[in-house]
Amino acid sequence: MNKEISPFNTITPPRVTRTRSHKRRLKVALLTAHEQQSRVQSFGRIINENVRNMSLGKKSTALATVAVFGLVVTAGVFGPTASDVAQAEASNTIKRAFARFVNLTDEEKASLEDQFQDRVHFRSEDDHLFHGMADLSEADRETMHENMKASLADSLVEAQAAADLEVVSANEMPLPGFIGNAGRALGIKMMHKLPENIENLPADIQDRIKEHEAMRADMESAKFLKYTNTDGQQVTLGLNANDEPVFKFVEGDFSLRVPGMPIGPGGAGHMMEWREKNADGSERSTRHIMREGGNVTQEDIQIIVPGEVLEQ
Amino acid sequence: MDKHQEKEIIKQAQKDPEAFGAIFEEYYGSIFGYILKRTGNVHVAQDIVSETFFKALDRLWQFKWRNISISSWLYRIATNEINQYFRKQKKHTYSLEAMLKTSGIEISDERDMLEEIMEQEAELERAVAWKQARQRIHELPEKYQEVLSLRFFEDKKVTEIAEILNRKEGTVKAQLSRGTAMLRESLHEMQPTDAERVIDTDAISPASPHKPNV
Repeated sequence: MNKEISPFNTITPPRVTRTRSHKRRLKVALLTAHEQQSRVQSFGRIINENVRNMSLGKKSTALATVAVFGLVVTAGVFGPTASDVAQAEASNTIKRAFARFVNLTDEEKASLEDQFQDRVHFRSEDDHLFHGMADLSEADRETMHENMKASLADSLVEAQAAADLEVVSANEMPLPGFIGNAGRALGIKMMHKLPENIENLPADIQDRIKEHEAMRADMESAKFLKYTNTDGQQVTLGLNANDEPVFKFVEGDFSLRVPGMPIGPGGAGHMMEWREKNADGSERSTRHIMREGGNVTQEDIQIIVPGEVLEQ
Repeated sequence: MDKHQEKEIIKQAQKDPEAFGAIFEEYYGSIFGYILKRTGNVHVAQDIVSETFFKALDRLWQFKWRNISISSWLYRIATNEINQYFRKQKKHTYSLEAMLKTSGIEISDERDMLEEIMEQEAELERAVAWKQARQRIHELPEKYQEVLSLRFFEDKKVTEIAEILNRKEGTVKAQLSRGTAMLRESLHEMQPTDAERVIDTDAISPASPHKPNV
């Protein structure tokens, strides 16, 4: 056996100690910078490759064309277009959201992330209603989270990379049939006011109502980042007044639909549709709460059979 | 990560830059360690590792699968950056802080960052013998610095070194042998003979007809 003696046999090299902070900064910088760089560079690459393959004559023609084009541009176009402004606004919004997120403490991040992941909703093309993560089993939730990049940080990165990113206000949300800004924002019908006498309701339902109110409060002054993700689905990412992402809606083709995911209008997925299973397998639903301004009492909870199509 | 997985990640990352995050997570530590051991300077290592990953992300579209691993590709970029740094002793104008500032991102863990740097500097200070050895390697011609660092700091096999440096295995073996001899000579005073670590060269160069110095 050939043997080679290391000249460093008795020398202990230095350990690499903590690098977490630098690593985190670099990752943020890399992913933040990419969008801007890639657009410019993709264009540059195409130009470079074409120019490299051109004959001398074609190069001269191209040069003359570019020169004329340059004259036209400099003579006629100054100042940003509306599209530039909208794009800049979207870009600034996502930067603020990133900045806000990275500046949170670990506890705040974890709390926001937990809240966000429960507020990711999805709707396939043939559905009328959005489905909520809360309607899925643990295993299905994980799969859907993976498919839809349901983590907050992933969502920001996804939004930033989108070519068609735009910002819209709650009032501009083009979703018909919803009540109020928050309702439009959420893509569902929502209560105008908190039901009275909620103390008569079961504790879990009270919790959901309170949660609902918190969501609504979050969305009152919200704005929304709309874009198309890499799977071609339309995504609406809701930011609250502090630029913290608080909701995500994904609409489109879910070819990776998980087993057991509710299908069709009014399936088990309405985010405000909470249910309790009875011993005979039927379910109790509180969809009455969805009625505009209605007070909710125990009597409002009605029994429905699993799979029954809910009216909208 | 095996080559098949790497190939998939590269394909994904070329379409969707988010996938690059996985490459970054996997290799940041080893690339940073390599640069740190070559330069012996924490600030420079941070700058060069940043530049390495920015270049990698920037050139991802150029990466063609020719059976070279991502790891080797990153080591190659890092090696070129290190060489450039030493050749020009150029002050890296690249600044992660400026980059983040331009992007409108403020990161509030300045103290953590400083602590990290100080910890790493203290660790470098402790490794007195290594510092001297690193200096001796640095005095050798660049081609020997590269192979010796990759072999003895990173424990890379000859095949991997050849892949990283885009050289023939025979060339790497010869440079390793010659460089080791030069280094041994240089380190002679520091080298006790009774506790030497023995490296099996069959493992690093299975097809080698070369009988290295013993």
